[in-house]
Amino acid sequence: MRQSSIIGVILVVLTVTASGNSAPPPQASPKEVIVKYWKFETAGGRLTTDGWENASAFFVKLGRPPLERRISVIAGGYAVSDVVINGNSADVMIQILPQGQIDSKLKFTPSAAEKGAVACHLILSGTYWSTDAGAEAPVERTGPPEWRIDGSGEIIWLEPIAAVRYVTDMKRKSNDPIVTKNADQTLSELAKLH
Amino acid sequence: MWATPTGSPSNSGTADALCECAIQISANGDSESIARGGSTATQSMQHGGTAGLVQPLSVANCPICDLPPTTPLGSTESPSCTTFAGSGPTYLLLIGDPGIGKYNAGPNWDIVGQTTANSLVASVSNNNVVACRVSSVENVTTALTSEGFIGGGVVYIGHGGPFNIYSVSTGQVLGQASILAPGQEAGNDYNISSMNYLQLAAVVTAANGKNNIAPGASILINGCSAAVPVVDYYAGGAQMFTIAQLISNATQTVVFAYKQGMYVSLNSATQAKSYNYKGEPNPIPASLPLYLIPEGPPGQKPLPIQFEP
Repeated sequence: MRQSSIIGVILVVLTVTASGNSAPPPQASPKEVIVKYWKFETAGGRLTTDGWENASAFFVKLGRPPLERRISVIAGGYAVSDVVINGNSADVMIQILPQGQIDSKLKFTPSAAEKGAVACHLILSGTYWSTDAGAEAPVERTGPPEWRIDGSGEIIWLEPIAAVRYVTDMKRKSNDPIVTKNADQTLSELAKLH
Repeated sequence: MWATPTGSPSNSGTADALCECAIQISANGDSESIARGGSTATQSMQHGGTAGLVQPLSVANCPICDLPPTTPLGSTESPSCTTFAGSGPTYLLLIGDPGIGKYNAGPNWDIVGQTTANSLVASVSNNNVVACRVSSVENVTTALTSEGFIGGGVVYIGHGGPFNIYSVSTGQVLGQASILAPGQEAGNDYNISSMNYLQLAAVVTAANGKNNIAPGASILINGCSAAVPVVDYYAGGAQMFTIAQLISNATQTVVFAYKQGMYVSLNSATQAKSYNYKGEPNPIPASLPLYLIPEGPPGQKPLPIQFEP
């Protein structure tokens, strides 16, 4: 009787301890995270300062906005597939229709092939970095484990409509005649894509 | 970002970093077509200045041009097909989607298909020709297995070639995959790749347990660079693959495919006067005949490479 009571207490303690140590499951699967991110990204989510900061929720450690942006333009259709989960890491593939790249001078260079894919590596982590408004350096934060993209997000992926918006805006802000000329040619190319 | 480890993804290893695709404008001025070049001689884009990608209303004497795509593309297994009756053995023509955006081939695949069909029917053998509009690996499999015994051969006309796999974070090229792209949409089923080529193996038992393609018949891939070997990202490891070899393995049939890029020409490969698209009219007429031929010197066009199962 006494022995079984002790065992019962131990079992209760072990159960409580175990449940206390186990992390809650992530809110979203790797595929769900990528689908949400890709919609945000390709619509131009990271083209604004606030948007870039908001994007840190998708990354383990999103880098600072680059001084010279590189834009990859994709046609509207895409498909998220091929999810492979291995412990606390996952790989997800996005099938895309690449159209071209826009450099910091707003010059458009057509892509090399009509089809392609984007490989995303994700990590299940409760630690991530984000930047407070006005702050210089990102701050390490902790929270419930979530699937986050491993990488610094150097390149921006845009659908044609968002790319038109971006080039138009950058052209308006520039006094460089080369940039203006490139922008006009790029807008002409983008007009054929949507 | 667009540099590739083995050179251009649409040809056989030229060390370029950018696109060598050429836009050929069709004669009606409303549609654009693509012919993908295969050498450093075709590095630049040729722009026609048209704003739209509107399909021509019709192309004279081209029933294949009127074959409807599956709606939505790739969603059904059965493609739309038409037959050009002949007393000889059956050839199956697989006509892929035109493509999207800068890669819209307009009616050119259809016109090339019609030219091929007319030639096969008019030949001494008076071949029977079944032409199918295909938009997915399922469409291709169904066409191979359900359109009668293929005693003559199979011809694929459409997009293809190695494509790149990019890092979502940096945009760098992580690897390549060798594919045919019958469907113009993004997604695995719109392509034939190392991930799904085994679906084509259904043809091996489709004729009452035997191969629905005759032993002496072969498959010609008339699309870009299907014979270029790449370290296939999807297959993993360091093994080189070509989609042509994989299709040969799956169908247990000899496959012929080109390493070169292809372009649309007014003349057949044996009679071509051009090295590449630059030697063709711009705009190229949206009328018969048109041919999809490999880049190379006139009179010395490269032959397709043979792949044995």
